Amino acid sequence: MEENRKMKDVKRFQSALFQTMAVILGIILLIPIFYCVFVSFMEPEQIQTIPPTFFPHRWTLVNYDTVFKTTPIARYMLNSLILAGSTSVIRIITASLAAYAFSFFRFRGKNILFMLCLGTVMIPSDIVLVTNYQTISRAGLINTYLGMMSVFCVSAMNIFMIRQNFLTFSKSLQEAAYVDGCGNFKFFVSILLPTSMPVLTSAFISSFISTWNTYLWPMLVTNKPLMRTVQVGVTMLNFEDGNVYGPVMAASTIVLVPTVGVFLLFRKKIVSGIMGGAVKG
Amino acid sequence: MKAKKSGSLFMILAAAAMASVTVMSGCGQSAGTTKAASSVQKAVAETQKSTAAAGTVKSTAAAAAGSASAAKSTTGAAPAAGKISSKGTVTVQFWNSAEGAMATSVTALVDKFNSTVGAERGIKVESVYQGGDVVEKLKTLTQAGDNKNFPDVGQIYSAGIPAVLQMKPILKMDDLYAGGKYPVTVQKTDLIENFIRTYTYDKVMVGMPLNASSMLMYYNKDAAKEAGLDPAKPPETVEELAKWTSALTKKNADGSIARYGLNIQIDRYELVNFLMGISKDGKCNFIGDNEGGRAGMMTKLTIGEDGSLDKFLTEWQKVIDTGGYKPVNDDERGEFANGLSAINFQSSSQLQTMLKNTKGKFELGVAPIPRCTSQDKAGASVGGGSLCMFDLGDDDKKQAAWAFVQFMASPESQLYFMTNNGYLPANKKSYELDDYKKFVKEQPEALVAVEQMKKSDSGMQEPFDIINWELNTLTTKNLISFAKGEITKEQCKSNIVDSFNEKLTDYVRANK
Repeated sequence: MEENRKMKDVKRFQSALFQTMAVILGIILLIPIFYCVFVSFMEPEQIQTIPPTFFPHRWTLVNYDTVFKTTPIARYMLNSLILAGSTSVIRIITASLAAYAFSFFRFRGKNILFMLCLGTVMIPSDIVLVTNYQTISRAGLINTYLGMMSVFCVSAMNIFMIRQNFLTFSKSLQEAAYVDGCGNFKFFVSILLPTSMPVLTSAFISSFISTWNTYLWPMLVTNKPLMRTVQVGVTMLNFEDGNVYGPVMAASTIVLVPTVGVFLLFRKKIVSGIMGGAVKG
Repeated sequence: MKAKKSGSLFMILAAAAMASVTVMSGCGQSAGTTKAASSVQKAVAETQKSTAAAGTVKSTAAAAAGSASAAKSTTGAAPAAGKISSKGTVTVQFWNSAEGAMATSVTALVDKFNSTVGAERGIKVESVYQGGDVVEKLKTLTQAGDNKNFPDVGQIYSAGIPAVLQMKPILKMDDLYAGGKYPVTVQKTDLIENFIRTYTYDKVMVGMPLNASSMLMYYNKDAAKEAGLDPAKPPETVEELAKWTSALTKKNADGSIARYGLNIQIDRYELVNFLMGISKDGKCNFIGDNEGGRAGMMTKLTIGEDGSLDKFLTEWQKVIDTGGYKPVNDDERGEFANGLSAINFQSSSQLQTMLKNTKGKFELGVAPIPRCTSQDKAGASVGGGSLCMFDLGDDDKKQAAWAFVQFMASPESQLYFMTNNGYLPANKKSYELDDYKKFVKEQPEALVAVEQMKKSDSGMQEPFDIINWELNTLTTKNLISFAKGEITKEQCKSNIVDSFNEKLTDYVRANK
């Protein structure tokens, strides 16, 4: 009995220690983001005072005003949303289908194909930039959303991530489904995907954030001001004229909103998914 | 639970369906906007037809050229008076790297062109920001063999001229002047020689000067007075600069620095400007062989072997020794404006911004950049951007682009860049305008760059050092280390010169 209580105390202590560490780490990671948000509300004079201050003395929207006046940021946000939203959805579809084949089917050359697929992760995107551009320009897709999106539609990392998850899926469940007369596609759509929501959502979030943050490619394949994405908008604000931190931070804060939003929206799904599995298990 | 899950799956599928619809509508939308835009252009063109009756010599010449192209066109209909094309408005794609205050000026001038000359002759210029350097994007297009997506006009910095010369669609300014095909409003002789040379390679003028600037020294006059210096007599040599730096440095009680005397990060641009005046047999210092790459391909840096880099570093050591020199650029302009440093070097294009940022805080002093020693030449290089034209095979577009390039080089446009940003007009006639005289009377600071340019040898130019980004990285890195005392003068010299020459040799071998 006494022993048991001791064990509990140790566990509780460990848990408290772990949580404190997690909180400290979280704060360290969050400070720059909060600083960015606070700077965006500071008056230009305050930003450069020495020693630097963390909270705005007087809250002002002047930096946001500059952003909206100098760049069509709303339009850029829309373009980025179209780009990141659509490519992430397409990525999930392509990745889950490929992962399904790689994890549930047996066919000749499967491993080689999978290795080739994984091998693409090792090729830096900068190296294929020119050839990708060539393909897109020959296809006549310069200045189109499709041209911007096409290179992001398949990601080997996502295939790998989802495949690993599918591999843990109970084979007996699959067999049971087949015995009950469930076809391959039906099993995929109505059993496998719904039970894999956590991994699908994390793949969605990671791909949304990475495409949302791309700069070079969307800029390369578009030549129209109205086709530009938010990251280009932030760069345009990076004036050569000094006193630019305010507007840049304001634009960065605006740009942050959708990614944080996507995370908050889907966070419950990840957590509930994991919890659901835990309880059942 | 299951129902809920399949419900969320349905949501995902629905989202996918919506996304694909968005994709399609996205594509459709761009086509739609183009259509709408062209119909707007048509409408504008219609209204302009009636207003374009005002026939100047310029528009008559344009009409003559216009009808020549109309004869070629399949419709056979002659364009309306003054118009370039019978097919409607000609769109000119103009790619630029204009950010901040420069972007505002470029937009204003493009709008002005579209509503005046453009309206008169049926041209619409579409200005597109293409990141920090248009040449980078053009290089990708060239590598991919995509010549059809080139712009009609691009803003090209002088360092990018050797690169654009390698691109197939380039139209050189000299050829366009010699061709005599399109109406000329700004003659080559109207332009100042220094600026022509900036964009000239092997005696051929490639680009039209757009926004030319030179480096200036900005200083805090109030701080100078307070330190017992004469604000009317700014330092003229690096040695004097060191004295000023020392006098202007302010320390806190605990020994930390409250105000740096001088803050300048020496990148390629700054180094080249300091070295150029180090005279060699009465000529200026070209930095590299083949007149710094303007008479042929530059194959090596000469600043090591001729001792000019050594001479500069010896003098610069005096600045470093003051202890009040900050060699890193965190936010040079912002810190200077907020009194965290007392001297700073910037392009003349920053003059208006500097005046605005320091207004009400202290009196801004503007001076030419100091010479290395009193035996060296005064002056600075012309930097900044030019307009280069590209041939997309459409004669109407070429003519329209030429009209735009001529407009941007006009005395009025060039003066606009001066009064709004601080660029130096490249057109001699700008200096005769009443507006110019009025402007420099109100703002004598603007004259400093003009005087400095007049004193500068036309050979004082940024070199065409092809792989200039390498020189930039090497310079920045090594001069910061030198200032911090991490490397010796000898190491600094060989790190810059030897490493760069090695890389340049590789480039030359591969591209000769």
